Amino acid sequence: MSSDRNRRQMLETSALGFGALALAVLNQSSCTEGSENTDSSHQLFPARAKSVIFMMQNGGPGQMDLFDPKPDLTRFSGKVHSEKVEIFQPGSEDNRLLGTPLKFRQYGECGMEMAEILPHIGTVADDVCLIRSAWNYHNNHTESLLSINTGKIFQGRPALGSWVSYALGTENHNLPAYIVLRDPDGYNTSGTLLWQNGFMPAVYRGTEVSTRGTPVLNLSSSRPVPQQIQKDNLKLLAKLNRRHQQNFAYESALEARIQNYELAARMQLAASETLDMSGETAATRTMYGLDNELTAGYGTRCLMARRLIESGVRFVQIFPPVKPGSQPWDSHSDVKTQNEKICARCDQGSAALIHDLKQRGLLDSTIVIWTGEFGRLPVSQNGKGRDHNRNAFSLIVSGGGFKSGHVHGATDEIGYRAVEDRVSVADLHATVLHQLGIDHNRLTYLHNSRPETLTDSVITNARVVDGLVDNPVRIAHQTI
Amino acid sequence: MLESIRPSYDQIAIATESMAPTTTHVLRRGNYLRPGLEVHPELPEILAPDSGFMTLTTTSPAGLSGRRLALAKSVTDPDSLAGHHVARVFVNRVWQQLFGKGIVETSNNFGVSGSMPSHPKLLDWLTLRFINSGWRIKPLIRLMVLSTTYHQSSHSETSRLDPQNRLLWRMNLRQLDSEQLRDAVLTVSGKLDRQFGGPPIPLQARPDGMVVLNSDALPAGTTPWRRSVYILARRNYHLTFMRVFDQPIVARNCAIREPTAAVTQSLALLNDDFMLEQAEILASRVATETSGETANDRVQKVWRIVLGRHPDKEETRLCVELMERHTQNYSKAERQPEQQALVQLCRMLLNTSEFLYVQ
Repeated sequence: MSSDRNRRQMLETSALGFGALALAVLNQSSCTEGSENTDSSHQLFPARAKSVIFMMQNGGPGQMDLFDPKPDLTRFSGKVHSEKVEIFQPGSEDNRLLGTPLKFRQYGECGMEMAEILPHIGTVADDVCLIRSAWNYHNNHTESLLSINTGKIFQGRPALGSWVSYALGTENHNLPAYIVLRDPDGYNTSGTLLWQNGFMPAVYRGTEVSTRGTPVLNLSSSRPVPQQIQKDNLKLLAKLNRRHQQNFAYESALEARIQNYELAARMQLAASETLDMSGETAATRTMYGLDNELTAGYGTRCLMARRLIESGVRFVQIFPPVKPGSQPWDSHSDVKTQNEKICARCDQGSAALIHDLKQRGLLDSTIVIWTGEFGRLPVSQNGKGRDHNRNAFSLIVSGGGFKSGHVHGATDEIGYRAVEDRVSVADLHATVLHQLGIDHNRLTYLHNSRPETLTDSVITNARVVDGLVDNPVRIAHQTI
Repeated sequence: MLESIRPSYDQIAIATESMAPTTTHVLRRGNYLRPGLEVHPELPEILAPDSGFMTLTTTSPAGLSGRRLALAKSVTDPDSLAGHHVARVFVNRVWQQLFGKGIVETSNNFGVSGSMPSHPKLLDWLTLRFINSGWRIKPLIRLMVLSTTYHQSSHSETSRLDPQNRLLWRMNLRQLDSEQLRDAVLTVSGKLDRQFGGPPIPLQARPDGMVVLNSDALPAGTTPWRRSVYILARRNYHLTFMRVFDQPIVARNCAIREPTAAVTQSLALLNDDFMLEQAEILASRVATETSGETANDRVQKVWRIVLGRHPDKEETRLCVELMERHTQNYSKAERQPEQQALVQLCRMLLNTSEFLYVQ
């Protein structure tokens, strides 16, 4: 069994990982483990979605200021709250409630209530599932960012995008399966930790594609060689490698290596084609806010994400601007002005992407996640701000069979804790994998002899949240 | 006289107890917030079936519990099961390092869910030799590398009987690890700095995300071309060039490196600034060592340096002709067209599979 697995692993880890056969391995192993395995429990669910866009809104968007109106909190604003809340940084010791200074309104036919400063996301209210009962494990940015991106608060585990590309590979053989679009001006908090491959091979690491300058590291040289000479070079290289390969017929990695040099050339072309937005109409550019200095940076990444998904990339992750701060949603000092600032930058592009995917018929097969790493406290910090809150946050999921125009779960009357239909980060991951046709308990990667999973449900009790999706597929689960 | 060349160390870092050991509990479902039964230090039953409570040493310095010393002694006791297991695991790791795979392929799992040894008696024999020679590592390595098995060629057809070569009827083709690859490039360019010890070479992240050596902050008296083990690797912060070649991150344990053939590796070998720089240095070295000689001589020289052998007739022809075409193409724009042509040949040889794999 292990030798068979090795050959598969070799295929998976070749090139860009588009030979990924994890699902085949899954099927195979569950068939062969039990000799009389005639039940269908090993079968995978029909996939509702095939790709994912993860808009990471790092810093901790405040649920009671943006997505989760709390009239009682406003009514008792300024009063000392009876329950001492869990605080992280100094400034909230008074435990005084702070009603939101921001106004809410109803959006869409569904009447979803969100802040007035999200007018664009408001226009897609009927296309999104708003989760108001999410919670995370830690009150610090890095730990919570790690868990929402990699499943646990510790470093060194593969990201959600790594797991998805490990399982499904990519349909575009000229681009990486897992692409990260960050602000070319810098990294957000925790930077590359959030798209690491952890214990998986390097091919499953998120590849940064820059919207400015050279799109992919090392895609071109700092000392360019004339095209004719480079072509001639590569021809010689292929010949030498072919001759070398003849002595080692058993080693398939050599073939992969030869093909990778051809792929490198194709990738150069594919990347520049994907990055070239000249074919986009003026209407599209305006929709994403490319003609406005404030929205252009983030909007460009959103538009790029659509182009990448369109061309068959499996998983795209978008990060918000790094100016004025590397955790733009972190409203410690003034929830009003800080939220207004970042909404003005991120609202339009986020909504345009969902709208654009829908009008192109891509939203059904693409899961769009818009989330922070945690929420904020109902009490004030230094007067007008709020501290971190792992016990409740709101997030948006759209497409890929997730419910639309729907609000899931609820927090208590002041928005401190998720109380109804709670959704943990692990539950969210389990449900996303489920919509991609993957059982989160069966997608494993053997590391240090432990079959690791993204959700580690033995510890986290992760489960697929049926209430988030349309017509959930029910299959009897084997207990693990 | 030998004593006089023994390396000396000013300071050695050791771990010690700063307070009395706290109590340890079984954590229910692995959750640290839910402590269960209190437990005491003891070896797993399978390693010490009859010992009962691990005997804490009485020789520990005053004030220390002596737990570390007791553990170290019990797992290296040649007369105990634990000592034998540790020796077996260690011997297997050395074998893995030399042959690419361990005799027990799952080198971090000798339990029931691990794989069976391919050569059980060999592992027993090597383990006893190792213990009887006083746990000395160099004789063990010498024994392995002088074996006929180690001297086999890796040239071969596929085999239906043992396609994975578990029985070692040929040598495995092995890809260089990230550090070996970088060191190999520096070796052929003649720039490898073999200086022993000292502070690490610092790194810096470029705005485009590439992590490169911080050449402006080199420790005094060092060069950027030191052996790769001296390059800083901090949790997830690694030299991009080495990470691309699967250098494991420090945040996770790594029992064995699984080589991959990702396209980013080809891109790095083709375009990384380090590779371009070293190709140029290599070309200068070849030009100096073959000054006044023919293109053919230069091809012979560069093959000997990079691949450790002479090219055959066909390979020589391909390379000489490439250099002629390049020289002609470069003659309009470059002042030293022949040298530029040689740089390109060096670049390509550093990109070959033959360079990247140990046969």
